[in-house]
Amino acid sequence: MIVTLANTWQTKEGFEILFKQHYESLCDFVFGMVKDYDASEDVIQELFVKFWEKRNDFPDDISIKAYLYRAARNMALNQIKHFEIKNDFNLFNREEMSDAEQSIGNPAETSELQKMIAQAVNKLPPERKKIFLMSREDGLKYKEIAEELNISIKTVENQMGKALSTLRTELSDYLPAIIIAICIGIK
Amino acid sequence: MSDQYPHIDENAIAKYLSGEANATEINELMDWMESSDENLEEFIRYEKLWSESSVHKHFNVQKAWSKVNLRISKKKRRFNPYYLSATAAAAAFIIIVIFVQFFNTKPTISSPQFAIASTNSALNSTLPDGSFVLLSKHSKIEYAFDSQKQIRLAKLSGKAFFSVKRDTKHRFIVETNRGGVEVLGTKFSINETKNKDVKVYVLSGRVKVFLVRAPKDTLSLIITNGEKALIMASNDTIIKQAQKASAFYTINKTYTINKTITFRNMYLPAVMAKLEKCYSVNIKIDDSVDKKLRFSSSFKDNSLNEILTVITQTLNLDYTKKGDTYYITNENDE
Repeated sequence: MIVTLANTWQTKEGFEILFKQHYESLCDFVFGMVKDYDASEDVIQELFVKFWEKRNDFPDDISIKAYLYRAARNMALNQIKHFEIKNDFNLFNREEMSDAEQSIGNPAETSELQKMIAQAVNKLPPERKKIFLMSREDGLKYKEIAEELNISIKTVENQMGKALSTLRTELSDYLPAIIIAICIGIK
Repeated sequence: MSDQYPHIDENAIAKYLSGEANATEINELMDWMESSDENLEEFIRYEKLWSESSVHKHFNVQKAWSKVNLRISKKKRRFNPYYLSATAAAAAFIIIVIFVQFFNTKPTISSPQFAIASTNSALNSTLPDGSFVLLSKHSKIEYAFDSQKQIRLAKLSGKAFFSVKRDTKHRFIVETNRGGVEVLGTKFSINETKNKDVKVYVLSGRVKVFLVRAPKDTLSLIITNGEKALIMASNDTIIKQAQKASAFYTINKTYTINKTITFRNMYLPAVMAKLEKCYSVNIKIDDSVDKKLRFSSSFKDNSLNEILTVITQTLNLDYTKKGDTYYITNENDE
């Protein structure tokens, strides 16, 4: 029964579900490495195309999530090697790099989890909340936040870590439990 | 968080997710993540919190899916566009930016195979050899393949951006009235300043800079990565200088590289500023108009009027043109 579930991503419909489930998280994940939103999307799209091409070659007991993250990591590292060259090239192709920084993604509908997070953020100590929002809402870098508030980068780091830690504790009930859903029962 | 990985805590994760982690920190986090499924799951939970804690969505799943769906629906792909874009930069093209002031004397090639001239707006085109060229306003280029010398020769007045197709058998030479550039390597730009000095910037690769009046190769200079050559108008000499990396950047900022204009949820003033730059016009936004309005769309080869119509209708605004200036107003102002 579980095995048939594991194979759903070999069909187009199942693959679409898999894609939509993991796309954003994987993009967020490689962003930490490549530090460029467009490049992150390129990497993950490429990853899924490759995954689709090889879908019939995977062993039945593969942990998809672990596979995707590992592959994303490798491809991102590979991407970083090409990145300098590509970056040069992009300078010519992009009219203004700063546009990418100015542009802001579409505010999506607010999910239940987002509401809970917003409430938890509101309850953070004022300074910590301010720092967290400067990073998440205004998209400022640690250095910029530090300069703006006249504090050290280390303080920004600590405050960000503490904010994240608080959210993790407060919202533990709303976060996915430990399941690597697809491979459970197969191992 | 884990005895084995003392450096991995919320700070490290927050740092990584915000793109602030350095290579060592990234590696440590990766090792931690891969050491167990629990760690991976824990990371994914933080990541979820992180992405949901911002209202700004950087990634559009639906759009990405249509792209990927298109790619996997094609039976056999000829090449891998992801890697191509990287290698293209290294191998397939040579990129040149040239600024040369308009001289009274017209550049002429006895029988140009191809000539384009721009008037009040930028113009892009492909040369017969496949090279891409974008002419800034009031510029002109003539191109011919010299079958005797087996060279590709372009003569330029004004400013131009080139993306030169690689062809090692047939050299590509750009001539201006004062000096010229022969493409030997990968990427460079030429820039002529107001006092008619010509500046050549090399980003990577090699180019040869020569003086037009001097016999070729007697007065020339090869410059490479990170260097800048200056052809002095006053005494026809070439000087080599170290180049600031930012030089390229500034040059390109003033350009529309192609006529595809994309706005990704930009604020109205930023949208208009971009249009002003691309179409060389003045656009004034009325004080009564909400500056927080945002706009997203992409236009390819549309006229300014078309673009303004779409934007204003979308945002319930209006626009009028008086002289060279466009005025953006609220709709009910009419």
